[in-house]
Amino acid sequence: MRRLSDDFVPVVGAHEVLTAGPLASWWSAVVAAANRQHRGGTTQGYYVFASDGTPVVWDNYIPRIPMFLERAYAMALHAHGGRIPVPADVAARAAPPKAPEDVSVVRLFTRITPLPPGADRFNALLGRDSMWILGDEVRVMIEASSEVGVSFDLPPNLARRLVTFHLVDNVRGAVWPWRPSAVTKDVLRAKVLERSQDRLRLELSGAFEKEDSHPPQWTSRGQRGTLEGELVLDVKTAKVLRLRAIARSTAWSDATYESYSRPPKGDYPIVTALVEANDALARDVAPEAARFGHGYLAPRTRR
Amino acid sequence: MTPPRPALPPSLLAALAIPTLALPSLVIPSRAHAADPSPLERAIADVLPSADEDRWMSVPWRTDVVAALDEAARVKKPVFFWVMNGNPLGCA
Repeated sequence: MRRLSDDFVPVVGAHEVLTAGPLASWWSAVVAAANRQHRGGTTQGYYVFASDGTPVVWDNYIPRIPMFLERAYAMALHAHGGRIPVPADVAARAAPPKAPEDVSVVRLFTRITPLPPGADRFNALLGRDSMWILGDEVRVMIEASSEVGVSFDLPPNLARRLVTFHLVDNVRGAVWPWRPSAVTKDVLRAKVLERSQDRLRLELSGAFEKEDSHPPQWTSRGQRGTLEGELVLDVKTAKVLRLRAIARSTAWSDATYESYSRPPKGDYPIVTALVEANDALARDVAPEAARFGHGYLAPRTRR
Repeated sequence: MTPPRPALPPSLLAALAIPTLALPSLVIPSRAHAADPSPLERAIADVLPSADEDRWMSVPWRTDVVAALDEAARVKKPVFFWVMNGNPLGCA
């Protein structure tokens, strides 16, 4: 990976954004140029462009990356003149969305633990995502925290956003999206532990449940669990200063759409840790589900 | 809405033990246990990524492919563009 860092300009992209967003036409042309064997289907993988933007070569097999980098670098040195232009107005619309200024970002890490005996090895991987907490939601919590000891429900859209899009089994990769209507319980509460002019410290607790069906891919998928933790808010900026929370749950899924990476059979334990994220990357890359727009920000209004 | 098919997660890179460099821009709380952690802190630490699981994040990934192509022309380097269902860094 030193080769990748030193000798390439490394960049990432979301497949669903490339294929359905403003860059879709450009992306089709890139795929055709870099992967002449492509006959439809997914265009995920690794693409190398020459320094002048000419698409050169494609691959999609992680164990082969070191060899691919060497081959692709050599090919890129000799390729030129084939850059597929991106019109300026398209480039402007294609720029990845960043976190709005008043949003606080939370990182989530998910594991299936303990791993059930016989589970596919991909279930031992780590699931990652980020989540937005809106400034208005923080202000609602601040207003509800009139004195130490007071308890209140988390803002409804915050609770539904967390349960619908973020307390998920994503350890094997991108999740087939849940819909807000699949959530049957999202009772998440906060209790004021400390309050000053500058800071508000809340204890978080609650329970959640969701279940859905999407035949033929799966007939029963669900998750039920509890949340506990502590949230510290900046009263003046309406931002999250610190979050330490954990959701422990039981999940199940009879999904069969990926033969090589199926979820464990029957009920299995899944844990998600939530921590604040204040680094630049957290603000540069939107949560996976943010592409659903208003449905992500205000899931209580959507099915 | 047709949901996307799942893609293998970035952590597969770590699982395959591909060595990388250190990343300055990502700040994740340490997985190491504090001297006297609470049960909550201990439970969270057990879920956070290990150093091995975060190695792939040490690559100085860009997030805008059009800007990356312009940069490549300036610095005379090829572009490596990683595309998967879900932004690989959005899952980070």
